[in-house]
Amino acid sequence: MTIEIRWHGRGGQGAVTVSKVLASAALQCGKYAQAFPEYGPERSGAPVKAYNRFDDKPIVIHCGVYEPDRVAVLDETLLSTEDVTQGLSGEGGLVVNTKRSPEEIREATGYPGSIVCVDAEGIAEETGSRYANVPLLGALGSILPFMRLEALEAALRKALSRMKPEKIEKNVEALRRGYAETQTLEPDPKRLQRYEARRAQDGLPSYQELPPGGVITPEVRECPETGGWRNERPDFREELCVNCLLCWAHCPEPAILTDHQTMTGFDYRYCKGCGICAAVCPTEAIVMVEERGEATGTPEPEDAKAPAKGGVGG
Amino acid sequence: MSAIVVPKLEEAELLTGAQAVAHAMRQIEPDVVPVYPITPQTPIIEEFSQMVADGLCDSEIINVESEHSAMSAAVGASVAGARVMTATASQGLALMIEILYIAASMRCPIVIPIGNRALSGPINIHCDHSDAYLARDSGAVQIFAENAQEAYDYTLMAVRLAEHRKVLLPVLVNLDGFTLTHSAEVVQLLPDELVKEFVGYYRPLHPLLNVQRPTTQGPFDMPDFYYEHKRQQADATLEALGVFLEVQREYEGATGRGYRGYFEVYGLEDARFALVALGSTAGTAKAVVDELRDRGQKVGLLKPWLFRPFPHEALREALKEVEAVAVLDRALSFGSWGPLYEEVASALYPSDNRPRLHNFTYGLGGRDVTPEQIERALTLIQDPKLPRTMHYLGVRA
Amino acid sequence: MTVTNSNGNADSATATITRAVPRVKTLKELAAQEEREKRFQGGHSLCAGCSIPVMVRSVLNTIDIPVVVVNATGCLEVATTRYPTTAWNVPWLHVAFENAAAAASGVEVAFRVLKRKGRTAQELGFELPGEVRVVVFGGDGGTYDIGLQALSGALERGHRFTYICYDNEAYMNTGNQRSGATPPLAHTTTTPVGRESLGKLQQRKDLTEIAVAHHVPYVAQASISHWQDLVRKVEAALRADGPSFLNVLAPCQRGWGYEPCLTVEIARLAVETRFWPLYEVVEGEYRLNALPKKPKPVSEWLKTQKRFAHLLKPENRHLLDELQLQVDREWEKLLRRCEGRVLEV
Repeated sequence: MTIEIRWHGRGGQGAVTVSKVLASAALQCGKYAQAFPEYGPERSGAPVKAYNRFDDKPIVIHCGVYEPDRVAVLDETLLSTEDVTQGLSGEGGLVVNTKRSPEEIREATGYPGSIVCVDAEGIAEETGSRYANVPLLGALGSILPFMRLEALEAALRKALSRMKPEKIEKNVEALRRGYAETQTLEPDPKRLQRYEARRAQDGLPSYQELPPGGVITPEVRECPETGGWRNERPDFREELCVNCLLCWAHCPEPAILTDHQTMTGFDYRYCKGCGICAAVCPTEAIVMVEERGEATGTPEPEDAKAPAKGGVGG
Repeated sequence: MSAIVVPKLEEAELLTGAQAVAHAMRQIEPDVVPVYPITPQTPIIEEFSQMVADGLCDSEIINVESEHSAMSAAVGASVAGARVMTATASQGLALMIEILYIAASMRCPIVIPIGNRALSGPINIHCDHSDAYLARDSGAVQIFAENAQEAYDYTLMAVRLAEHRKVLLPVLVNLDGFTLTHSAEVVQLLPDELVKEFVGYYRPLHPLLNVQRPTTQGPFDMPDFYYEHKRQQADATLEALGVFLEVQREYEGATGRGYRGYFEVYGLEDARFALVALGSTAGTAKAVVDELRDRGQKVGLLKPWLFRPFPHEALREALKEVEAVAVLDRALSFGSWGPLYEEVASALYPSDNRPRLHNFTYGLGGRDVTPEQIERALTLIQDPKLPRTMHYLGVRA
Repeated sequence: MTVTNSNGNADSATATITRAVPRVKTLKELAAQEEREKRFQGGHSLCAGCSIPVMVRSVLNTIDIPVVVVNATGCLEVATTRYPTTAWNVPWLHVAFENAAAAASGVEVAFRVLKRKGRTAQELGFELPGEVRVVVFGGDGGTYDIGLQALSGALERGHRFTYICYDNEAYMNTGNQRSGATPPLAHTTTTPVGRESLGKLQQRKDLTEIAVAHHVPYVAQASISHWQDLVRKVEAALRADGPSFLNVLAPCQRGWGYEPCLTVEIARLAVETRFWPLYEVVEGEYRLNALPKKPKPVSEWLKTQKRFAHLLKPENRHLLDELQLQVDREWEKLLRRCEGRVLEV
């Protein structure tokens, strides 16, 4: 039987890394396995996807995963910006890194199938492993029928072999806790039918509708919001502001609002929460606060100093 | 012996192919012409530069530092909203190829005469069609001229074909290096005013310089749009088939010069054996056809003008009655048949009554193409037992 | 704005230069420009804390007349124009990686010739603007390395355009591979630090000097940390009647290894440690644009970035010293070229 998995994370959170660890563990459990990322021009902090495919037979197909059996969400801010349940079978399972309850996640996503919540972020902090991806890997492993914790541990140790031994142990501890500390909500058959009916098509334009030559004309142009990338948000303490506009001058988006050349706040539709504005503010009129107490991003474990892998172009 | 346009001697001049093309460029008066020298194309841009220097033509020449930059500047100027031409050959076309693909995808109607020359290595400056074949899949339209007169006429027609709203693609006008670029022939030019009226003004579809309506040109496509854009380009390239005939008709209306169809046929009407050849070789082949016909052999010639898009259906129709066909390729596709042969074979496949098909390689790196070689091909294919392997004409063995 | 010689005294020769330099736009004036016309807008997928759009905004807000942007392949290009999204509200063109300067040549000449020919809206199907400036953005890979030939050709031909290199010192779009701009001893994925390796073993190419050697009217080195200096240089570059070239240091949080909020600070340190001197060459005459009062040791800059982490180990002390010597040597060389001419904003 084929089992397919989709991981949702942000560039730099290690979704690709854990998808590979999971595949390696599956191999030790006697499964044929694939792990593959979705490459795009996105950068650190942008939504990314990674996939797994497992089977008892050798896997020969190399196409994408459209109807995953499990979805793992590394960063719960993605629940509001991405369609994380797209194509997910009602018979499958949704695993989320969150402090919230599975009931709340069902409300937020409308997903009627099995929902597994784990405070991967909290576990990562407590164990000192730093990365939410590892506890989430444990949680996902716990709902895969063929998976054994020992296999996950061995695969993780192998993947982290270049780290210091104590760091590896912290990660293994985080993995075990993620495996054990899950809250599960059973499927809701009443919602299932409605959910299955909703699974639909992408609705993109046909080739005849596009302007010739790949030109982006004002008519076809889109401008996506990037506020969902944020883990921290700038907070404006207007009384301290001297309107030097240094924040405005150094914002990469731009997401600093001005009115008659006076700083008035932030355009949270685009702000990615980089914190440059707070860093350059001479009067502490801007401070970074946690984004509504939700998950924070963490760098990719295996090479935190290198930029996102798999860019395009040159 | 025949030609589509028989110059009136009292109104004609003795011009090399390069000069004839340069005159066409002078009359078209493109806005921007990025140039870079390469044998045997150089005389085109030299002649043209002198015409501009003498005030005979209001064009801006950009003396770039490579053909890669020539094509890049051409794309920049074309996207900006200008009418653009350049010219090249051989290695120069090879260096342009990366940007030629992009020019086609960005739908830039740039007209580019090519002085066909062999690709290195070994390095060689003389004629064959390996450069044109290299550009086969670039998305550019390709026309082949038999003589200086055709090179001139098709350069003019290429502007209208390239800039047609249904097409908007680069057009390469191939003329054989040295054989045509450097040989003087009798050519009859058209009056300047007539040409200007025929080509008209270029009205770009989405000019970059329209700052009132900013466009993003050459953006990044992910798998969700790249395919649709290529599908669109595929349609536009096939549209060039219809527009080619339309432009020929308009040209005939304006000039009386009757270029009709995708290819010229010569003695093909009742032929049992046919030769298919591109460029100047077709002229030599006409002489051979005449001679063999005088000896009672039913032979004929099909000379494609349009190589991309390839007119498969029309070619199938034209060759449906013949018993055997010799397809001449002036370049190799190593490990396979010649590119022209592949097209002819693919055109004939759906036919119920397929002729025997044979492929002849000839004239590589400027090896002279003699009537004897062509006669040999037309003679060999009359033997039903001729093995179906690549035949090499004019090579020492 | 002050014009002084290196001793801090006003100098009659340089005083004339002061008068020739118009007032630089203030941040309020730049903000007013962006309020009028948001030429670059949010919605792109560059990393949080990326320095490139900071520079792009400064450049575009400095220019009041219509501008056409030409972009080499790179982070800026892929992350701002994923079809059908675009961050650009000005005409924008990308052709390939190595040819941005050549493509810009074509745009510049097209505008000039259509203008000269007096092409009307009826003939063209659109109204030509009265004036337009062509600005190229390319990364260090697309400028120092693969695009150098096209850049050299365009500079030599004298097109009126401004080429701006955002130098983040490696091929960041493909994930931090070594380029001709990568400083010695930096870790990249193709010059990784390992048991047998200390990072990039070669020198950095001095592209600014290469541009100067083309005898173009205006060449300058700037940094995203010094917005006023950058704005003045963009203004000077646009005034130049011919090609102009700006080499702008643009830190990359992912490739260099630092917290995204520190982008501006790290660029500033590069200037203050004299690793990245700010200077300009106007019609062949050198002027220093930042004379750090108390220059910091280069280690102050290196230690902020993970790509240099190995240099901070005690056993690599000699490498650090060697780098400092090199920075000092380059600085002295630059001072000699400036012959006491300093212009700071």
